[in-house]
Amino acid sequence: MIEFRDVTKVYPNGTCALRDFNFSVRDGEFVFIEGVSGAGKSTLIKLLLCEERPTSGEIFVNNFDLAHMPRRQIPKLRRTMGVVFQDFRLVQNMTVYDNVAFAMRIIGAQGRAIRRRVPYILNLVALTDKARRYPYELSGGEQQRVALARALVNNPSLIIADEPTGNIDPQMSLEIVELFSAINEQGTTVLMVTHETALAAQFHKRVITIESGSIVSDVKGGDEA
Amino acid sequence: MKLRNFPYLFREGLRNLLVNWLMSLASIGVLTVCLLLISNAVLISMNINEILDQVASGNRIVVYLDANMDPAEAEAFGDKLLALNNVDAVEYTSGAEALEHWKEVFGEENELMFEGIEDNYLEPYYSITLKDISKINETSYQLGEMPGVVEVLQHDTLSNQLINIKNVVTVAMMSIVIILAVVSLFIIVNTIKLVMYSRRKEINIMKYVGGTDWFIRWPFVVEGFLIGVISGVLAFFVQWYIYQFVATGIVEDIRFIELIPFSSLWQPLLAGVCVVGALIGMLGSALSIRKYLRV
Repeated sequence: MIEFRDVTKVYPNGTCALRDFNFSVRDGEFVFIEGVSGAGKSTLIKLLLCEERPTSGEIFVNNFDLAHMPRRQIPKLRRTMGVVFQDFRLVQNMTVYDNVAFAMRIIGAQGRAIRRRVPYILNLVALTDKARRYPYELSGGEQQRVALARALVNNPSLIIADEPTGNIDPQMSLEIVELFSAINEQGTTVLMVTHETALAAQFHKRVITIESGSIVSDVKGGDEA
Repeated sequence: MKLRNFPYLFREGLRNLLVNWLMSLASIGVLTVCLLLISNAVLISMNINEILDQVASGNRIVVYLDANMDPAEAEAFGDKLLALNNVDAVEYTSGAEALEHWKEVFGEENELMFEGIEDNYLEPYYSITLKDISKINETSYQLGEMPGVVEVLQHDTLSNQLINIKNVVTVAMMSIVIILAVVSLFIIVNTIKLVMYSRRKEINIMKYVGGTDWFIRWPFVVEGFLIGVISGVLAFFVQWYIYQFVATGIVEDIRFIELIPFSSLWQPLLAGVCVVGALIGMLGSALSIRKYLRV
């Protein structure tokens, strides 16, 4: 599902963000990626989204060869994954419903499918009653749930979350991670980047710790075989 | 683009136009002014050409025939002239008519002057209007070679100068039009870039969700098209007003100049400004969104 083989990423300015990175994530796994600022977490996300290409090494995500695939294939790769950001990235002049529906429209889904799917997903993140609200009328936790709904609506096999709890208070954070955990139990692979070690520890999942561009530990979670 | 997506993409374009109405208004304003400048340059050029043609058409070649030619034969000579492909119209004056003309000019008190002069004293002549004034030299040579023609009279210098002026005006106006079009495109690209900047987040999200470049681009292209057509229609009406103002208010007083009537111009003008506006708008959108698609 996700595989990094000897991946090194050096930016044009000479910064070496990742060095000989090796790890793989199986289908249906839940993985935390931990590390302080500047450890290389953002670069990892950018490589997964194919926003950046590796300087050397191979990356495979959902059977796409990220190091070599042509640019026009990138949208296809991204349709197999849902992304949640720290700053939510919701469109402010669209309602909650439209923010979620928009993700379906942009890949050319038909009206009928959208009208059936969006309410279902909003129900899943418990936002049915907020469907007609605008993002700025919602709390941080609610906004992140909208972002999650948007990430889920196209039924991706992989969810990538970049510090999803960074802008949310601790109690809400717990709920958000629980929601991700519930989604994971339905079979979706989840890769969550965070710097909140304590939060990750509560979930007994696999934790990969990175430091200055290298993996320093890869601890299997308690509920893993 | 799949055809079934078109209604959505068009609706999005229209929605963008209305939601960002202030930016749309700015773009429409800029584009309207640019189109007006272009259409003015074109109209001025067309009218100068028209006026030069009018002046040139007064520039005729006169062909004198042999004075001893039989009058019937001389009269029939016009058909031979008309058979030449650059001859538009001919006007015949017989020797007798020419004499009559001069008698009138000199008046009764000088009638004695003409005593004893026979009707065939003066050569009959044709004054010829050409189809294409720029070929005056060739035609005048052809005329000189025809049997029965004794002299060909033309005003070389004037016609050559007219041809030169026409060429200079055409080249100058074409350059102005091209420069204005490029400048308009540049301004429009920058205006749309501002719009794009204010919406970069939205475009960014579309990319992350897996929207293809063209799916994201189309609504912007539709928006550019609509802005272009609206600007075209606006420019047309302003141009109409300006043209009538110039035609009736200023040029009418100058007796020998006649502008092309607006009624024979409005269809190509309307089509022209709309098409050019739409092209600039669409191209401007497609070009300025490029930067934000590189994610």
